[in-house]
Amino acid sequence: MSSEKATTRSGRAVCYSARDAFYQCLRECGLLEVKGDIPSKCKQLRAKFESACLPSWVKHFDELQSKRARELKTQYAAINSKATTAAGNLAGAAQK
Amino acid sequence: MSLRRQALATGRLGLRAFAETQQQQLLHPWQQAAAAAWRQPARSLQLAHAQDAAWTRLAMVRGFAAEAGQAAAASGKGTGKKSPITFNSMLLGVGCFLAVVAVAQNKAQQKVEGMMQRSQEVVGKAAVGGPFTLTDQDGKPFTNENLLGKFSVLYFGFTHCPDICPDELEKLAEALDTIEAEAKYQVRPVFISVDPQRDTPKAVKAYVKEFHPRLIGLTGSEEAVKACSKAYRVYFHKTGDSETDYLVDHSIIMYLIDPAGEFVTFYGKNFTARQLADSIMQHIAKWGDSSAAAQEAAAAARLKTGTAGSQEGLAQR
Repeated sequence: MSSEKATTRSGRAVCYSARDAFYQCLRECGLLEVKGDIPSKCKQLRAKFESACLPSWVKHFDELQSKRARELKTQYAAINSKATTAAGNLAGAAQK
Repeated sequence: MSLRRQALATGRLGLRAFAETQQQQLLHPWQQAAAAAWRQPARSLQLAHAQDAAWTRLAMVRGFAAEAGQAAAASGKGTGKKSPITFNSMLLGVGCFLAVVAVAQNKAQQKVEGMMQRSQEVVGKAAVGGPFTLTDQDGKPFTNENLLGKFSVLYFGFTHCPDICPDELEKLAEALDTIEAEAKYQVRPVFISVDPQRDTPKAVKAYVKEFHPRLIGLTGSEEAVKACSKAYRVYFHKTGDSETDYLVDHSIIMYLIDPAGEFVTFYGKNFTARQLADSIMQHIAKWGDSSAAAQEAAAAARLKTGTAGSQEGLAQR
C-alpha cells in the first residue's frame, strides 16, 4: 500500500509537494535543516510530510537538507571572511 | 674553379683533403700566413706542442692528398677512367639515405598510430559489458543478445528511488524523443533494477510505463542482477535498517551500447537531456558512416558465435 506512494508518479508528486512545503516553513523560521526540535509552526507540515513519503525517503531528504545547509554555511563563511579581509571594503568600494 | 672541379681534381682520397682545403680557404689571411710559416719562435711549450701536432696532421693529410691527387690524375690521364665519387654520385647517395629515413619514419608512425587505435578499441570494448540473463516487465527472458540491432541506453536503478531515478528516467525519455524527432532513430531504452527483492516484473512494468512507452524494464533473481551489475561495473548497496523500507545506493550512470552489443560510452548525472541527445546522435551518425554492409555482417557473425566480443571482454578480466 505504502509502496504506491513511492512507485507512482502521482504518489511521488504528493510526497515532493509536502516535502517542499515543510522545508519552506523551516526556512521561514530561519532554519536550514531539521536539527533537534521542530518549531511548532511547522509541526503540522512535518506530520503531513511524514505521511506522504516513506520513512526512508523522509530520512533521505533530511540528510540532503543537512548537506545543503553545510554547503551554504561554508559559502557564507567564505563570503564573510572575504568581505572583511579583501583589499577594499565590499560595502563601499567602487567596482573596478 | 667550380666546387665540382675542385673535388674532381683532388681525386679518390680527395674528399677529406678537399674539405681540409676548403677549411684552409675559410681561414683568415693571418691564420693562413701562420699556417704557412708554422714553425714560430717564442711560443709557450704547450701551445707549441698542440699547434705542431695539429699542423703536422694537416700537413700529412695534405701530403697524402697531393700524392693521391697526382696518382689519380696520372692514372686518370692514362686510362681515361673517372673517379666513381662524383658530385652526382654524392647527391644520389644522400638522396637514397634521405629516402630510407623517410620510409622508416613513415612506417614507425603507422605502427604507433595502429597501436594507439587498437588500444583505444580494446579499452572501449573490453572494460564494460558482458553476457547477462534477466526478465523483462512481461516476464519474458531478456539477454545481452536482445541488445543487438539498435543503439541501446542502459540505466540501473530501482522503483523505490526517491528522486534521482525518476529525474534520470525523465531525462532519458526526453532525450529519446529528441533523437526520434531529429535523427529519425529509435534508441532502445533499458531500465535494470538493482533491487530484485522488491522489484518484481509487475512492479517494474507499472514503473517504467509512466516514463516512456518504449522503456524496457528488467529485473531478475539476486544472482542474475548481481552478475549483470558486475558485468557493467555498477556499484550498488542496500542501506537502511528496515527489511521492507530501504534505499539502494547505486552509481548514477547511463550506458550507451552500439548495435553490435558493444559498450560505447557512459553518461553521468551532469548531462542534460539535450547533451545526451546530441552525443547519442553523434554516435549514431558515426556508426552509420561505416559501411552498412560490414556492420550487418559483423552483427550476424556475432549472433552466430554468441557475442564473441563480449566473451573476450569477460576473459580479459
